[in-house]
Amino acid sequence: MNNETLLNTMAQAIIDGDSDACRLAAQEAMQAGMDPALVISKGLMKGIEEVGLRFGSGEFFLPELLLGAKAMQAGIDVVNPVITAMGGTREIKGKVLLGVVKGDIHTIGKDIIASVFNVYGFHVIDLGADVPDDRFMTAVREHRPDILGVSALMTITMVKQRDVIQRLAKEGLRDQVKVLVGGAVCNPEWAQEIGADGYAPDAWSAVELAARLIGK
Amino acid sequence: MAGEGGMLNILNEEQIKAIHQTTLELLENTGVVIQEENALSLLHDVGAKVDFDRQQVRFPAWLIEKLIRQAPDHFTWYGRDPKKAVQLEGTKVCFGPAAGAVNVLDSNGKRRPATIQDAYDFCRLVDALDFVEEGHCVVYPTDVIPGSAHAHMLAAMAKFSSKPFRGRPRGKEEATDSIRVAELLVGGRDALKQRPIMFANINPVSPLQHAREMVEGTLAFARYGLPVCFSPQVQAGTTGPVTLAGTLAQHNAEVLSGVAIAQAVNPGVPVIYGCVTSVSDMRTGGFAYGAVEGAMLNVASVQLARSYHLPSRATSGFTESKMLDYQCALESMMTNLMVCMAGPNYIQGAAGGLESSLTASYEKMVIDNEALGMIVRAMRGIRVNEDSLAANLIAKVGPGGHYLAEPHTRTHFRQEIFIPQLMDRLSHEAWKAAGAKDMVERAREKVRSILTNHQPQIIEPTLALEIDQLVAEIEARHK
Repeated sequence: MNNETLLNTMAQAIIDGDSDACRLAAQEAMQAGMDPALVISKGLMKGIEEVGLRFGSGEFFLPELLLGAKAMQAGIDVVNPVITAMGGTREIKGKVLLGVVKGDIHTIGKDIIASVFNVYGFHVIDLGADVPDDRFMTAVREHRPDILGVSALMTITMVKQRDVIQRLAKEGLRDQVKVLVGGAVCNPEWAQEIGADGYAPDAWSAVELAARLIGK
Repeated sequence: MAGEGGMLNILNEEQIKAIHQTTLELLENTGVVIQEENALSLLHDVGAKVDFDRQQVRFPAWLIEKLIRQAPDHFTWYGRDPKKAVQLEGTKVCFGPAAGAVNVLDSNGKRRPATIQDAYDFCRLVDALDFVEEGHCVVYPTDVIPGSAHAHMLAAMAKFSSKPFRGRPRGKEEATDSIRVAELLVGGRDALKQRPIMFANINPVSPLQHAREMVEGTLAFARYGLPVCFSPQVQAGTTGPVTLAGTLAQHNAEVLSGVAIAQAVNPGVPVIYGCVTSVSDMRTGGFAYGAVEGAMLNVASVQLARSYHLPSRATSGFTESKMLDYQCALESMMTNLMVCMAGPNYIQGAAGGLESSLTASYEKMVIDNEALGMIVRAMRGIRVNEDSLAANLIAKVGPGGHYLAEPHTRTHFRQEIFIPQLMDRLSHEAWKAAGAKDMVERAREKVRSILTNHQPQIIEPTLALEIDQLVAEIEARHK
């Protein structure tokens, strides 16, 4: 396949949600010596941008979005090692640390956020569910994220979002990170009340908000 | 008692069997995760295959079938007032209001956080409504010491409602506190065992997980002999297969594994086969209470419950709407009507809730009460007997006559025709003369009237004091 065809194949694979096809095309592109940065910007990003457009117009829904994200990740996983071997790093928009609070094991929302942040060029560290306050603190110290996303689904566990923020302040970490809160019970008033930096009702607003808060 | 349902089925026998078979295979091969050691041990002791490290439990088919058979097919749910006891059996239906709402939609159409005063007011409002059998306080008060909300809710229900209510089973502490309130109310442990005044509602975390706190609550209530209801909230498309049959098979596995825990800890304890399961919104991944598929899934779930001879609980009456508009009316009525006709023994959420159960509305509470009244009338059916066929009367009135002034009409009209209190049937001119009010305004007036005039049965002052002391003790624990 010629270079342009490879780029189109990659993009189409993402639109189709086909991880295998995307991986194969990316591998062929690397074998052909194509510039990895070009492959990302003209191949993979083209695909995910089209997915985003179709989602925005109501033609695509979450399954297409998430499968597209998976396919794109398959491509990224082929290209990244090549970039590293060349001595470079993939340009990322920011570092995002995500977790569901202690006592809560509802993860779907966080997983969707993680996927979307990933494809839009953020580096995501996912602490999973039932995360004790201590572990949030340790992770913030270790990874120094730009954004900390704290998720809670239940009325009973949303109070933990306040605890995490208060703990960050107590440990002198509050200024180092922007805190976003989310989850079905969350709303802007709650976010304001507990001193979060923001609240987003869905993954796209979250990405936009994160980019704004980081200043990118 | 609201009425008898059972006239709507969505699955046939073959389909029920196929779902049941798939569930048995799921439970035997994949199993569920149960995040609590006591339950794991109990299940191991009765014959389940338990991987303690991964907290994974697999159930052989013979074990599931044995444990289901242990559970009774009916029980009585008592209230403080013995006349308000509810029978959960067969296709008898009763209604519970929305519960756990953290917001209230106030009279200006603005959403605000729910308060403890709302809990008291909703208790009194619900206590006055003919078609709501459960005396829940509807809201989750946000203006109390964090960690003590459950205590305040229990106290509100105990003091301001004489109808049956539910306990708070999330964790050992809440469950124990709930049982203490119940014991106080009925006069001790033995009395409570004789007259279970509350049951616990347990939600697994789909897919196929039972979280620690909920299992602790299950064990506490079941050990005591208080009924436990297992209500998965599978979201087809995100936490369950998007194909409804697959979601039902998984939902079924989540209920039956919960039933297994209860039966393992206390053979013969009453259980309820519950359902909150519905579909996801494919755009946001959020839960869709008002979707028609949710109603369909609840109908199917009731049929599954009946196939196991277990009392059933379903969910209907909620809407994704944030206001009292067309969407609100459509989704609430559609889901309530369909689900009711399936004949679940208890419907949760049937009145007063919106915004996917997050918000409560006083006006919607009384509007929904009226809607439920209409549904109950529909379920009562058409009486056909000599008196109702009225052959002699028709002959007497004859061609061109009328029936309005007949004693027969006077005798029967209140039973035959549901007399609406909020539905407006006036002529345009009469409606204008009466103030041209819309439904919500009329509902608001009714709410005002009830809250001004209605007094629930008074609880003994010494008992009220004891309950308040218990609340204070629980608050102190969380200060």
